[in-house]
Amino acid sequence: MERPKVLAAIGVAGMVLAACGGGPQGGSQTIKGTIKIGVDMPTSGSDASDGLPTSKGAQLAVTKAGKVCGASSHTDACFTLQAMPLDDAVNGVHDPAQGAKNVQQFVSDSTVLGMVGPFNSSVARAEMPIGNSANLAMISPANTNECLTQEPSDGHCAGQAAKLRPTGKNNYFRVCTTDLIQGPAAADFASKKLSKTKVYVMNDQQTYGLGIAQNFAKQFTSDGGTVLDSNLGGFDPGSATISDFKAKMNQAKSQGADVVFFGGTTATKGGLLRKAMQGILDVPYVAGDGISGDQFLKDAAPNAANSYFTVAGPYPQKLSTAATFLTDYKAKYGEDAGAYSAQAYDAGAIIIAAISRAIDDAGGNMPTRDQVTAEVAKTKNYKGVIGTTSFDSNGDTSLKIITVYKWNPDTSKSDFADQVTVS
Amino acid sequence: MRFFVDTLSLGITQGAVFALIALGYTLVYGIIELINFAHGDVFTIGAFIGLNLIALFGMQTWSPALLVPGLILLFAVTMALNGLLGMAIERVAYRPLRNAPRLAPLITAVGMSFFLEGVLYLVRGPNQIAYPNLFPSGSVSLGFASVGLTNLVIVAVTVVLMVGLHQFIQRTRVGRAMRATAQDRDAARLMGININRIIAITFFIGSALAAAGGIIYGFYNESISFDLGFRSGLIAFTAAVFGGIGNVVGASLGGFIIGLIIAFSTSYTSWGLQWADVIVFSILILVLVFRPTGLLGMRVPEK
Repeated sequence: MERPKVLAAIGVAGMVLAACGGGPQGGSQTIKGTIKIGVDMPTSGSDASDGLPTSKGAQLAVTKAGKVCGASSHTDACFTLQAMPLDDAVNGVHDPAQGAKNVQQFVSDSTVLGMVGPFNSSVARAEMPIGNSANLAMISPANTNECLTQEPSDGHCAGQAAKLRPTGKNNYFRVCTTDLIQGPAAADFASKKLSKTKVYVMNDQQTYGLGIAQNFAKQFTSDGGTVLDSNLGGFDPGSATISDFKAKMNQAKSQGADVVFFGGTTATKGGLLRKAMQGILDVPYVAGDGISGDQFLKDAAPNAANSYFTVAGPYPQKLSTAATFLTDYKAKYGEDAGAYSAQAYDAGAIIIAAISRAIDDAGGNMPTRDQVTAEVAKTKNYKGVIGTTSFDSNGDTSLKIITVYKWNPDTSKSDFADQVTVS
Repeated sequence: MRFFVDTLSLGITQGAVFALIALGYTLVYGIIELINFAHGDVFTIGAFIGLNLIALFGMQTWSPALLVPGLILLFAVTMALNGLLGMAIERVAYRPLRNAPRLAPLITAVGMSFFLEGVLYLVRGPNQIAYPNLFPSGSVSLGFASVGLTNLVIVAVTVVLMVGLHQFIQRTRVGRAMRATAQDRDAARLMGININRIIAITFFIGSALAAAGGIIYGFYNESISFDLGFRSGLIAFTAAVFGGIGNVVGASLGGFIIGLIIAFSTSYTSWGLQWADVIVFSILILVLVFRPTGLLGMRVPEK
């Protein structure tokens, strides 16, 4: 019953801001202080084309709301909202240690009541224990590694989710689904839609890359396909060169591979691998959401065609709920939204809605992190840009949609190829 | 068979690059017994100088008739510029420490490596940067397999450079002075050889060869990045030790052998790529333990 009022409050705030250009608040509302929302993404270097549009999506949610007031009982108690964006890339590549430092910075600032991020699962592993100790609400728009939140019955996560939460309480949520869905969706696409039977897999051996490669391989095998390299082609992204990739692609060719799957990101050399296939192995290339930024096109050119990737979320251009967001994003940043911008926007909006309810819980005062995290956990049927989101007890979303995109080097954009919804 | 030839040509081609870098390590070590850890980054800078020159003169659009002299000029100018850089590094970072304990210049070399890599990062950013291949593309069919034309040209250019270096060291006055300096610096000085000049020339030659390696790397892989020199440098250093550090023929041979080992261990096993590094550096350790003088040994007497 609180929901419509929250939305109304945000909507009114937005309209007031739009009308007055961010001027003074109307009515009897009083600004009692400032609440910050941390945003942590890799926003420089090879990762920037993935991370920056995601960070901008979260920041848009904050600037659009402008302020946050109590949801129902204390609608007059308001706080100015401010985004605090940090970059977790070092030398242009997402860095878990830098991510940990950034979360420490959020934690040490008592006005930060929640954060959107991170982008990469390996970074999440470093950040989660720090955020957990302070019970800082974290909502990731893009972490898909299942072991961050779950303990699947086959035990392949080895109790990671519990280790990442030293206090035993959950503070970590995500608005995208996991690689338990994304990896198999990519495998189904390769075997059923592309009709491929022999896959050569490469992975960057990071939390996300190895995990999605394993989930892909499992499903591809059960779809009747063959995984040529049972070691899943692990490599060290810091040192692997294009010559090394060429050597592996020679092997893939000799074994008769008709599709290549890459578990990893553009920053861990996904584009370079695609480029290395040129003149050696002319088959489709499939990867997860790690190559959704357009740096992939630059790295892989001139061999970027016929490359597919999945995204753990819907295709915003096809959603009526996303129309306003897409226009706003383009108006503010002068470019089209990225593959995870809408998820980040919803992640930010969910935190803001939770803060609004937490203000009521705090009796119209500045809420504590415990109150905000508790309210985030209660998120049920939140109607956002990407659809209706509810969090389960692990912090995972009820929205299980995977979109398959195909890179189009001629337009430098990715086109819709397929969509999978798991109920 | 096709697979074997593909792997062989990949191994020899990347080995050519390692060999060209290894020559710089071995030349400098031969003269002043310094392991110039900045050499890998000098190689990267060579690749970037070549890229800038290609872009500056719009060489991608040159007609084939113009391209052959153009490429010779490109190599010559890039090698000269990079050679001057090598000389400058020696003048600034190593010469003041010539008589310091051996550890001091070694640490300076490591520092210089980080410095150069940092500058490259600031100037060109962290992304992969596309490199045009100006060598002929396409391939020659052997019936049972085919070999890329680029690979053949790369091997030819590398061999020409190696033979040229060998002739230079064996036949010219400067080459003789280099050998004399390597054997006994004090005696060479007494014979009227300008040691500073000879050392500077050695750095010039080593850096020039690295620049050729850099352009070749760019042409072959069509993509370079600021941190390219770190691993390539370490592998080339291994190649130099493998062939016998201080020995020019050994470094060339070592480069090709290491290139082949990496290609075959990567293509013919299902091991992850990092196993190639494990193998390469295991070789380094084994050579250092069982045959410290390397495959061909250093042709200078005990000091």
